[in-house]
Amino acid sequence: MKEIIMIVLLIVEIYIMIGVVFSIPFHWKGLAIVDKDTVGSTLLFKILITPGIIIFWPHLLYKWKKK
Amino acid sequence: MSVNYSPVLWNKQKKLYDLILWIGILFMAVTFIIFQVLFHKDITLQTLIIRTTAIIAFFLLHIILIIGPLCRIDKRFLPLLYNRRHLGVSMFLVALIHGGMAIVQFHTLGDTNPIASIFTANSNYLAISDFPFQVLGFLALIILFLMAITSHDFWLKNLSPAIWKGLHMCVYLAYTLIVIHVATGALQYEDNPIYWTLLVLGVITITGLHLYTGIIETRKLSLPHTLEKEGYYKVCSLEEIDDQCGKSVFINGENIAIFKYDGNVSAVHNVCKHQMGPIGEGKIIDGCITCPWHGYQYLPDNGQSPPPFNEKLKTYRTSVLDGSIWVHPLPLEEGSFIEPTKIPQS
Amino acid sequence: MNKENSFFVGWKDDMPKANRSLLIKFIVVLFISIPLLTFLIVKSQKPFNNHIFEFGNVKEFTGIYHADPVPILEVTDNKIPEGFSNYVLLVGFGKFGAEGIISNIEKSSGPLNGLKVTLQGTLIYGDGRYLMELTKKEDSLIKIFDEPTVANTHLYDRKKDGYSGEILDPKCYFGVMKPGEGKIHKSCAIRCISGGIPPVFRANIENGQYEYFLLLGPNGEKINKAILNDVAELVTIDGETSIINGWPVLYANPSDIIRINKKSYYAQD
Ligand code: HEM
Ligand code: FES
Repeated sequence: MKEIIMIVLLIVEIYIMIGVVFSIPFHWKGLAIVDKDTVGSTLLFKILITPGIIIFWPHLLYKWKKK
Repeated sequence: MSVNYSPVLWNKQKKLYDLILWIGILFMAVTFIIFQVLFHKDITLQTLIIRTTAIIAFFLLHIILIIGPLCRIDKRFLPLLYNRRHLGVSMFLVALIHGGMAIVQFHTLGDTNPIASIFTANSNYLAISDFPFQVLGFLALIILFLMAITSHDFWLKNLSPAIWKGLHMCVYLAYTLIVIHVATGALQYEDNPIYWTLLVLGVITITGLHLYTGIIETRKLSLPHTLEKEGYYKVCSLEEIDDQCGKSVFINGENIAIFKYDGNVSAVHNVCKHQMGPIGEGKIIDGCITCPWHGYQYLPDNGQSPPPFNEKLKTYRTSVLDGSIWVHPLPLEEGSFIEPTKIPQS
Repeated sequence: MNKENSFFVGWKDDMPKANRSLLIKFIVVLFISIPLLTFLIVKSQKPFNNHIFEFGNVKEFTGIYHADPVPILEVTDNKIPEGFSNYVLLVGFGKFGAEGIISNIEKSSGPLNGLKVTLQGTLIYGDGRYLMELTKKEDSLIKIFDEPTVANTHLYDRKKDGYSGEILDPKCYFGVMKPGEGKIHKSCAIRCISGGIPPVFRANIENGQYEYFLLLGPNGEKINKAILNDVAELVTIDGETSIINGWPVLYANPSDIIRINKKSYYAQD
């Protein structure tokens, strides 16, 4: 039981790490491509959506690549 | 109506809302803490924090869950719905203090990773009264976290409304988890029956209100629209809809909002592009259909949001015959213009 | 009231009178019910015990250190107040027993068992019992006295006995947490006992009195890991009792720990 949970936790940690790394280029380039309404938005807006970017990075990556 | 995103759209009403909300939260915290110190002077600071935040978060969750049905029962409650997401995020923040403090208190500085410890310390998963209740709180907190971080309209649009709505419907799952979290946790320790009474009262209030409004809603929607002529179905008499107001009908699987305004009749899809609000319960303001939930606007004749916005609704053909309104339940493409039906002057 | 105005639009600056009056009523009802609710909840709560953890207050004690069966400091400098046992149970920092810290200390100081020492730590006490957390970890040892070693003090022979009660982690129960017992605290107690804090069996003696036993296996061995599942539950334990280093001890086989549910327990009273 404990082993399984440690493995799951490790996977979650790695997933979140990737999300954190992903959020940097996404803010820089991807955000404006995925949703052009975000152009010119404030820093606070960008901070507010960052936790979501870290968690939903596969979805956003998919949308980014599709465009 | 996203032209550009701002972090939080605060206006006078929302500021008032948030002010009252946080005064309420502080008021509850202060009364709870004062009573604890008065009646239980031996309480530790950690337990005080854990319990205060638990009670506040659970109470807020009840309010969040009754707002929907209350608005269905009496539209004057709609302002509560308008800013419900701030209520939700506030509730999450309070619950986070509770969960975080409980993890620090009960699981850190031990021989196991604190998160793993939540799942493994008590591993009686097959028991009822001995069930590892903290696991349930943890799962509920994750749901509330996902809801809180996606509460901005940016996510509604970019996750797609269907996914977003699905995620936010999980609040009911979170509520269920928390009820069991309390029933298998604190209530296994406390023995005053008042706690069970309060918990059950809460559950009854929430399920009762939802059932009640659900029954009323389905009854309304299942009104037979049997009178059919050339594909048009009879909806109601002209008088039944007030001027500048709408009506929701459900015909052949189509959810339609019909509006009467300035001597005209028009029909659009009854589901708002924002958060699927019931357009038909809205009103015409400045010539636009205005959603009752957050005020998104659409022109009645083509279902389009006025520039610079770009939301579009499906539209439906209408007709007026012998003082009755008729509608054709075959939708036209979103944003299609349909000449409004003129109401004949008698 | 004009009809146009009775429709609420969030982005407008003011809300219609009809909404306002209903919402004011709603909010007033909420604000009145909040203190009633919190009063009811707090007033119906189970009282906490009056045990104390002197958090942030490190003190020094001198006495004989006994390593077996669990680390205990037999305090000889009269610093323990009237009504409390001077056999102070030692526990580690966080959710750990004292053994890890002591064995690290012994690497440089040599064996401590039976020696007179001065230790520093944070006190935890209640219901006649003292514990000391070795808060400063490896710096807990202040002084070793140059005196001959003293043996364990066995006062009584073992005799068969059985009680009902709850297995606790003494660190939390005697002061660190409120409540430090029961379901709410269960997973924490499991963590502590798993981390080497000696399990204590709080046996129900007559008229609401408790006796606290160190819980050991039949041969005096540690059974921490074997009993985790039965921590914080109402159980009966049959075994043999004795007193060692000032603490009552219950020697029991983990298989002789039987769960009883609350109902049958109260019916028995
Ligand atoms: C990581 C997640 C969570 C953990 C580890 C956790 C842990 C706990 C613990 C240990 C207690 C008993 C505390 C005591 O009575 O002294 C408790 C009680 C309670 N929890 Fe949670 N919880 C979590 C999440 C939540 C969430 C998300 C809610 C939602 C509002 C919640 C609501 C409550 C309530 C209402 C009580 C009962 C009141 C009380 O005894 O304090 N918990 N929880
Ligand atoms: S649902 Fe938000 S405005 Fe319609």
